[in-house]
Amino acid sequence: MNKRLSKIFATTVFIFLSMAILSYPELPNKHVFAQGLSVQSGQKSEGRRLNPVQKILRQSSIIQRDLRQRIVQLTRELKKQPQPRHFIFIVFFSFLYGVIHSIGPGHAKLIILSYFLSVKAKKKDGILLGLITAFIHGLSGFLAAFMITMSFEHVFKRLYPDFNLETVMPVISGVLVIIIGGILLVQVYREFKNKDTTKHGCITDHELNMKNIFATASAIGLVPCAGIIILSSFFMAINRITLSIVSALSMTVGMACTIILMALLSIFFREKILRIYGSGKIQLISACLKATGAFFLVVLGALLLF
Amino acid sequence: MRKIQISKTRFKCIFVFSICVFSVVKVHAHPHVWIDPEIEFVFSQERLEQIRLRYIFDEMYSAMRFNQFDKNNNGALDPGEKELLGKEILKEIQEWKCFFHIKHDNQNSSLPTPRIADINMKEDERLSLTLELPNNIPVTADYQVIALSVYDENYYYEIMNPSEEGIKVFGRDYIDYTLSFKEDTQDAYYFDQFYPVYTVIKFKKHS
Repeated sequence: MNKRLSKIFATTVFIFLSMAILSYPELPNKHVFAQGLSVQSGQKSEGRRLNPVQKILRQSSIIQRDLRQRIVQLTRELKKQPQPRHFIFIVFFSFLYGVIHSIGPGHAKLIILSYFLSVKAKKKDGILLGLITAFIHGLSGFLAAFMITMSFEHVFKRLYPDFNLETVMPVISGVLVIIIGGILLVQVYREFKNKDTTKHGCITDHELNMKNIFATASAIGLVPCAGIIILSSFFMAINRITLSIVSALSMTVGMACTIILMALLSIFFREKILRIYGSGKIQLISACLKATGAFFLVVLGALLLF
Repeated sequence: MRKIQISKTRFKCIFVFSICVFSVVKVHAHPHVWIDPEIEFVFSQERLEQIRLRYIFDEMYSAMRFNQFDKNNNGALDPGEKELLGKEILKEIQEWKCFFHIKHDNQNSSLPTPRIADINMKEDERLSLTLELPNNIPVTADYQVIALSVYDENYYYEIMNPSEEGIKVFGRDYIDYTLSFKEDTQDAYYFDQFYPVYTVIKFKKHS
């Protein structure tokens, strides 16, 4: 019963989010996808039909801009006439901003997808990894904003002229992700080589433990979230430190929702694949998934370096 | 050999998952800053003297930058603060060649070095940065075409298309001209998802 309820809940959330994005009002004649418009004649063509990816990117951008405008307006009102509802709405819009912001490319979703392809995990592992990753991702963004606002960055730059937090952290994260992918690849290779020594002569899956989850989340989440940097810097710059912390936290929870959804999708997909092709070849398929996921981790880690 | 059969639902699962995995690869992307641009073409009797680009940043980015650079907290940007802020933003966007792409008679034109002409907070509390792109294209008796597009290939900055009111031509008395927008479908960017939109001015000496 619980399983059924959680499935219905997940589906409802997914449909709700998709509909919200796709039905959001479009800004007329302002976007990068804009239409062939002749200024001379004043005639306006209908423009190209957008494919689904373009439409999602477009709508996501419009919603994000709108949410940020609302946050700025509410902050202005809060400055003039402080009321609890302003605070509550800022936190709520920050949460929504986090959800929509992390739907776009980046934010470790692909890395997490690849990771859960390569390891046997329970749903709670996915939720935990998603939460910790989002938290570290948000925290590194918040710290970056703090450094920028408090001018620590300038001190670092004086000591190390080439220092740039937003450039350094992805490199560290990239190296760590490559290491994780590499370790998983070596594991597959070793298990494949020594398969007669393993259970039933087949490749086995490793259960995830807390240590693994935390180490992986730390490696993935190190890249600071630029969205949080801007949001937190904005509040810090107007001396609203509490609001800066609360809104960053709220945005992090929003991002966690999307990341967790991706993790659960990956776990679900892995289970389905194993069930579809399973029976006699479950171990071989599992190894293939593990190798594919690990390979993707190495590639994605390398992408972070450039 | 056992034949593998995949049901429609399973196939859909695999398809949706594949789209999720392969459609969004870029690690650093999606807009974090929004810019509304304005374009001014400045003509003299002999030549197109310069193109002025005005970037008007979104409210949050503007407020963040303003508060970072209003060092004396007087609620306004003093000339010294403006200079520092202008340099900082220019340094940031120079990494992407200040986003502008110019074509002269359908050929990619060498990009002039931009100079900060002005930086201001507008009445709607949005930061406006004006760049001057010096030019030296002579105005002749034959039509010439200059096409200008502003976009960020990395999509970190989302630069909207200029509105009709956002495009101005100075020195109209010296030239005959037409203005139009053209989408360049040959030069897509950001995983081939976006086509740059060029503002096209076709001009010749006033007859």
